[in-house]
Amino acid sequence: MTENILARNNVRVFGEGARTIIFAHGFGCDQNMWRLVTGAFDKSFRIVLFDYVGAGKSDRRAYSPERYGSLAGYAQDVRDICAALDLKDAIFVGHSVSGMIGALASIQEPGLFWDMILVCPSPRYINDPPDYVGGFERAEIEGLLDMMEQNYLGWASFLAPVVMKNSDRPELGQELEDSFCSTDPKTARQFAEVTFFSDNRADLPNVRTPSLIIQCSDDAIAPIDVGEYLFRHLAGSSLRVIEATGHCPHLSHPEETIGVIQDYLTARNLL
Amino acid sequence: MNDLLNDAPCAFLTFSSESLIEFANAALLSLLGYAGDELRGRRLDSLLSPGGRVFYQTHLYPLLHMQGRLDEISLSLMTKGGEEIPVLLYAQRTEKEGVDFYSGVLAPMRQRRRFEEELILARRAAEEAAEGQRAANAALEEARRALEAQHAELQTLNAVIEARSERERNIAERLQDALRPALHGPVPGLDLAYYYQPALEEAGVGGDFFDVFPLDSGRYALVVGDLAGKGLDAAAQTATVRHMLRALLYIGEEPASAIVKLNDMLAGNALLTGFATLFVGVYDPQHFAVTYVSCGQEPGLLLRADTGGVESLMPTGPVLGAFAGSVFQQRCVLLEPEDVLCLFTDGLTEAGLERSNMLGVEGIADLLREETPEAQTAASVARRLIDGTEMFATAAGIRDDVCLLVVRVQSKTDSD
Repeated sequence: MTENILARNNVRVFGEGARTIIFAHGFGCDQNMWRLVTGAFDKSFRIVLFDYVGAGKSDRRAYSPERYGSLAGYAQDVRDICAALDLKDAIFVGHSVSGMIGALASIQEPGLFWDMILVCPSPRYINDPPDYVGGFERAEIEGLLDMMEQNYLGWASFLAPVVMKNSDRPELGQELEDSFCSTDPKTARQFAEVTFFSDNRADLPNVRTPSLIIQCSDDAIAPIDVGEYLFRHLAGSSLRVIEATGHCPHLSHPEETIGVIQDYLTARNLL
Repeated sequence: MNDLLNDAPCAFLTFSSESLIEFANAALLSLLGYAGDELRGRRLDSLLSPGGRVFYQTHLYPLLHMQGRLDEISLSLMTKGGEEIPVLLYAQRTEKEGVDFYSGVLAPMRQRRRFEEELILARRAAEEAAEGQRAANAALEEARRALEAQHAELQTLNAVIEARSERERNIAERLQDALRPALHGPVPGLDLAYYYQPALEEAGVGGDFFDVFPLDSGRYALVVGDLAGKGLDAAAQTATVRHMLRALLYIGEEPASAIVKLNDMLAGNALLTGFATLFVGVYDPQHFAVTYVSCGQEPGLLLRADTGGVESLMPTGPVLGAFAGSVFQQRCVLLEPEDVLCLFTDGLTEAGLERSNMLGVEGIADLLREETPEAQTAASVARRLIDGTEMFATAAGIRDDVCLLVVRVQSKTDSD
């Protein structure tokens, strides 16, 4: 079972340290997103990287629309991996939608995480007037889904059937896996829907794990209003607004990102 | 170089690692309705449709950053006036003197986008059709499995039912065998034959019966009876009459007193739904004598060998089981060698087309008179009587239970 989970989620474990940091990627790509960051921590911590089922080099046969029809299915992936590695009191670093996935896992299993570091998180992406600004209208998210579909057009027509049963022609499945950020269009579409149409605001009061919210100064996906909302509603949270712009500071500004994480861990006596 | 790029026929731009636009050529400015330096310092993704902005942040930026290039990405640009223009984006990262430098080409593709959208719709329709087909196949497969399961269940049930009905058939056959009259062992000096045909053939037994059995005194009982009614009820009551009579004769009652007692018991206890007719004779082999009582039974016909004449053994009392206290006489007749005594039920005499045109006792007697003593056996007499009756009754058939017992006294040479 343990081996199955580790293979299913393409789990990689490295680094030295008594405490573990588990890095969780967001919607769009896979664990490679963390490659500019992990090097700063693997001397002091054990590092766990993984791909959610349906992303990266996970076992795509394990994907089921039922299980992954809500963020709870992805939270279960995180809990499965922690159970397989016997992780307790870990530090969870989640990018984008993984912020809420980690929060859900921490509610379901108190004691799983000692701290959570949420990079560009959002509890709800769509505006809910008059009081909540998420940054998007529903139609704009529909536009995203269309855009994704158009860009999958090229390979979807001949690769999609292969992904579904790639046992027939493994070389095509391999080709697909080698393409960074690629995934089955149906899986990607469902993950996008689950991500951008979810609303986890009601879950926030149940979060009991201390957290750091890393907010970029100009983030098209999680605007500053969202970071502040989270800071107000997450008990035991800190908010750091960083110079970096965009939605991927761990890629665009790795040094600054590493810096704020180290500051937080030091303040928490973890480093 | 900038002049060449500025005047190039495609939209071209350069931007920083933070996606801030550094240079936009004339074709791009004109495409989007901007002029001069209006685009410098703007974020590249701010030119995209809202969906495109998310796509850029979640997919394109990481791709460009990590792979160094983007090829053939389908996006929508927003003009200054808010119009959406579908474009294809090609972008790459190059390094110059330790600094990353990003450039991109944007090609409008209004026609191609429409075509692609149609393709997507067609693909979706195909996928839905395939999905529908899969679902239909699955449902079909499910139905087939259910049918197979039901079929298997049915076969099991059938096997159970067959086993049960086989057992029931065995029981019924054993019971029929027990009830069905038959001859057991020879009677000294007599040649016996019988014909027995229940109207309800499949029941195997009916309301008519005969019985031949030895008594302690060395004598033999010869019985032919007919219960009113047909079928299984009659057959069950037949058994009652037959065995009660046996009991009375076994304990030594003479025929008349046996019948009086039997009649009282049957009538007094209402053992019959109707009544019975019955001939009971006790044959004494020592004297070739038959002492008999006939309770409303068809006359026994006695074909005398020496004269060829037929005598009738008429009833000596009323029907059996109807009235308690009835009186029955008994008579005795002496038999001679080669005499033939025929005892039968009304199924034989009443064979015919209608009541006014039945064979009748006279018809049977006529058939008997045609017999020539030399060629006779009990079996041949019985055969000819039945054949004659059936010929007479051709059209209507024999509809009632029929029972015939033929008793032929052996000739002196037979017994030698």
